[in-house]
Amino acid sequence: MVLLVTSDNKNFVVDREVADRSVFVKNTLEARGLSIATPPMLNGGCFELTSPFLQVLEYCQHHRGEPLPTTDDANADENRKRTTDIGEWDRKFITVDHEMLFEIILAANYLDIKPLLDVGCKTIGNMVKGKSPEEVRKLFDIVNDFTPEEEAQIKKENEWAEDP
Amino acid sequence: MSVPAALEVERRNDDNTTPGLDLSLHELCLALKVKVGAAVGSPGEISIASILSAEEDLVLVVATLRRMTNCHNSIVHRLPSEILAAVASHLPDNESLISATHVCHYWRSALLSCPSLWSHIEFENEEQALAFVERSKSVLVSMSVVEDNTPSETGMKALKVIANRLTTLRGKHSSFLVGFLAQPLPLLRRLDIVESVRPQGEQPIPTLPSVRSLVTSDVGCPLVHVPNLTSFHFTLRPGTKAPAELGDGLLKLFRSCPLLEEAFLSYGHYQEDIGFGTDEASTDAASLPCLRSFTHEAPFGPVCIGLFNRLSLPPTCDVMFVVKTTSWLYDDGTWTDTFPAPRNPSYFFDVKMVRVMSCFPNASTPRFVFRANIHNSEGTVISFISDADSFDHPSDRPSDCGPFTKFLDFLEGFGIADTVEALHFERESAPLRYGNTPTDLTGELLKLGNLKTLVLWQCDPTIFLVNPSLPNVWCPTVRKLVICLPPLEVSAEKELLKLVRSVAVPRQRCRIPFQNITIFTQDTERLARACRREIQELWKCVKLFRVLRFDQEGGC
Repeated sequence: MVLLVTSDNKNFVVDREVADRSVFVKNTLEARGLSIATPPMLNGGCFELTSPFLQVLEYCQHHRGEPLPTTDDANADENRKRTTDIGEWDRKFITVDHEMLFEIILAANYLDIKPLLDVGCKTIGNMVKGKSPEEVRKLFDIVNDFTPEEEAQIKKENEWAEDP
Repeated sequence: MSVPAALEVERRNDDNTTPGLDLSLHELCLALKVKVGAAVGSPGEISIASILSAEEDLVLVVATLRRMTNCHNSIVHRLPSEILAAVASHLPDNESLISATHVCHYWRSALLSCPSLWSHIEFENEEQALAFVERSKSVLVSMSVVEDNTPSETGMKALKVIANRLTTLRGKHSSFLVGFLAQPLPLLRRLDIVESVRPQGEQPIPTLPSVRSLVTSDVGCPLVHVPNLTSFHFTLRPGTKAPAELGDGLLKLFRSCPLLEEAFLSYGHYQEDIGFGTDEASTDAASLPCLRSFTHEAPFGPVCIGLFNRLSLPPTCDVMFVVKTTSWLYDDGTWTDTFPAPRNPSYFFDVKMVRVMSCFPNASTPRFVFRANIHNSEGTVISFISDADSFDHPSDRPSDCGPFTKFLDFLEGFGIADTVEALHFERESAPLRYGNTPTDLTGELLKLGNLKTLVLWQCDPTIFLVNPSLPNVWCPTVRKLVICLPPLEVSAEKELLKLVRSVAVPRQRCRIPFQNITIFTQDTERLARACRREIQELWKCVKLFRVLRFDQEGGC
């Protein structure tokens, strides 16, 4: 068993197999030769940790025992890119509000849980694909902040599609 | 202090990194408003140039303020740029990627600063392609030139920049492609010729030693010499007539690629001559000692026998043998006369597994796929797949049991019916396809005298209703039965009972126990309830698995 403490001082006791889904935690435990660890002080102050961390733990619990991505998998990344397929369980898991989605992604990035990070990135990719820039801005509450030079370049790029 | 500089101070102030400066953004804007207001009152003192310059500054200020708004307001701006780039890497095409750079300044700068995002260059618009070349900086790239756009001279010059980092090239066999391939491409691994538009006149044939994978639809006119090829994929599009020199072209290519590990060929129509000759064995067969996998998708007949007689495959090579049409099965049973026995000794085989699959169970015209893994005498695995374009079931021949019977005839004709050890029925739901009486199939199975495994994958169980006149002979050799029931409807209990009785009752009569029965179903409780007695009495060895969901392809 492994004890994980978040930056807001919440304790989580989890199986080693579950904790090892995080490459960060796995490496930390291996480097220290510990069975009990009190790391990850995750990116303190950026966001409330307990809530996304619970979600991350749920993901790790569900996928415990599955093979971790290897270097070969990383090399095969190029082939996987441009796919937005998400497994059914993962899709249901990641169906959360925007705030939680981004916090899960940040946590997955920090804890180095690549499959979860991929699921998060694919989810945002799915939200963005097929939408115009204006629709994406509306979706994520973004305002158009381009300078006139950038606007001119963008106008030129829009002509690429119109003038093959 | 200029306005943008003041804003920068305000931003730093906001970050608490420069204590001591106490300029509020609001106060700054108010002061600016007062100053501008005062200037409007005395236009004579201000030049038009300075007004325009001030306006430019203000536009920049507005953009900066909006950027600050995004930083504070939009949660997506919390994502570091490398994660944003990871998101963009999952966008389906270049259009979506370009569109994402038009959302806001942060997205644009994050995506433009990630060269790998721009590594798939599509030559639809020259300006766009060249922008991708520039944005991809020095990373390895792939390029697709599918459209009929020949690059300008400037474009060609710019494309030369990527010659040293191009790994995949996809395009039409055009003058441009021939010209492009003439330059050194040291990292090119994969060449994909999507359509042949043969350029006029004699073309040089460049040697590409780095290419390992070639995908093409034209080998009659060799485009390149690829001595180190390990993977070859040839597909003639449906409806395209195979050139007469195809057979020669393929054999030439095989002879020039001794390192080939994987080959896939798909071509031709029924009885079409593609230049392999007939079944005469060749005296100079192409040797492919490294071949591990060979897939041959073509009509079955003299043509493919001719190819196999001209190839020397290693015994360890897996051969997938796909027959595109089975119309020859309906030549009134005369196929054994026209089907020549191959002379290549490595061609003799034993059938290990036959798979019968209905592709479109609900179609008015039945369609069938036969699959068989075939082992030759040296242990080579050959898979046999027969995909019928259409079967008009001969309703005027009531004794005819349909294509399955014909297939069994084929196996018997070769004297290999007894070698079939496994039979796999998939999504079969129309028992009458096998004849006017569903019991015919039971009798047919008797031809497989060594059948040990029977798989009924999402089948209508009634295809195995037992002929009352043959109560004791239902697959007497089968020891392993795997059943995956179709998705259950409300009235499924009746079908389940039919299935259980059709299988279990005759087995009980002939007292031959199964060693292993596996059932996949969506509702194990319902099955247990509906068939409790049969299961208790007969199926001592049954294993039930619950299927959560069936996908569209029939998997679960």
